[in-house]
Amino acid sequence: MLKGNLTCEDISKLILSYIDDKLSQDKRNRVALHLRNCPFCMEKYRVIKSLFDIIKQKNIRRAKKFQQYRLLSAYCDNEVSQNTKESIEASLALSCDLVHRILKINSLKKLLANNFEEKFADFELNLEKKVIERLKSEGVVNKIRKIFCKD
Amino acid sequence: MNYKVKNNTLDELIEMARKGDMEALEEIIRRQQKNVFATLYYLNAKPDEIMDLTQEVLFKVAKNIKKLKNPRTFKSWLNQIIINQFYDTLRKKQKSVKKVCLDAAQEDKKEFDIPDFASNPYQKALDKELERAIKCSIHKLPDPFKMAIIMRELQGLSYEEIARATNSNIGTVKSRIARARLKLQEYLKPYIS
Repeated sequence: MLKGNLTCEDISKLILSYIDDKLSQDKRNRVALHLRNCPFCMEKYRVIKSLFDIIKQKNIRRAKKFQQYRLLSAYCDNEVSQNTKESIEASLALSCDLVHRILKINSLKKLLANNFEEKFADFELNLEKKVIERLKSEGVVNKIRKIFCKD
Repeated sequence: MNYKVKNNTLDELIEMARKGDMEALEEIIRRQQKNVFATLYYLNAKPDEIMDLTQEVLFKVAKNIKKLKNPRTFKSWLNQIIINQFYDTLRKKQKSVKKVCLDAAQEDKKEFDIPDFASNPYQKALDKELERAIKCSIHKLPDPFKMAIIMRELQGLSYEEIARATNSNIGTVKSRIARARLKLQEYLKPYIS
């Protein structure tokens, strides 16, 4: 199918892999050759390529944002290295957004902590005696079993 | 209450219990039971099963404490037992012929009744609403996020302890906690200043 010159139909099938740089050297050259000579496919390539770039940029931005949030979240739990801690604290003076994010995380932490504490504050379970009794009775059963097994 | 063991630290109690001291073991269970119950509650165990599950977890702790080599890993070990017990019950339920409704709305009807001692009725209603919102928000999280955030915020485990309990690495724990927080911030927006 792909021997000789590529057709516009071939290009339709290969264009995504071409943009994503997934083609062999030979195929890439042949696609490039076709694009140079075919304004219709070239236009198609430009449109898809620009969409690809937008998505890529968005993903990069999202990844960066998340990376930063991950560090901030760990910082609020005092679970970052001294270096990271210092660099976050140095950035705080320069970024209201960063301060705002940290305040939000701490506000959530406080909300959860208060709620957990209040919800179970006066809650009594008293299961300790039951558990110990069960443990002892199982111990007795095992001893009896051992005696019988020996016999 | 036994005053002999009351002032011992958890590490000391574990050491004593490993040597066969029943009073120390009883004190460990007394201190941990609320944590176990609350964890299962937020993990979304069925309300009428939480008490049985809690007892089962505590029994396993009591039975196997001698096998725990390092007292410092107790919290991770306890949470491993909670997670395993929780999933065991789920698996058994899936295997059983009887159909189990996992619909959240239905579960809410069978809310486990925990006494509420707030004095002002208006405040009481607000607290109840917030409590419900927090519970539903946590239940909505995917299981790994849910576990990480419960262990961190409810039980105060370190990232290392959470990693050990969930058999993952610290980077993963960091991500899970951060993502859980992002989601909770979104769900609980009206309550966060």
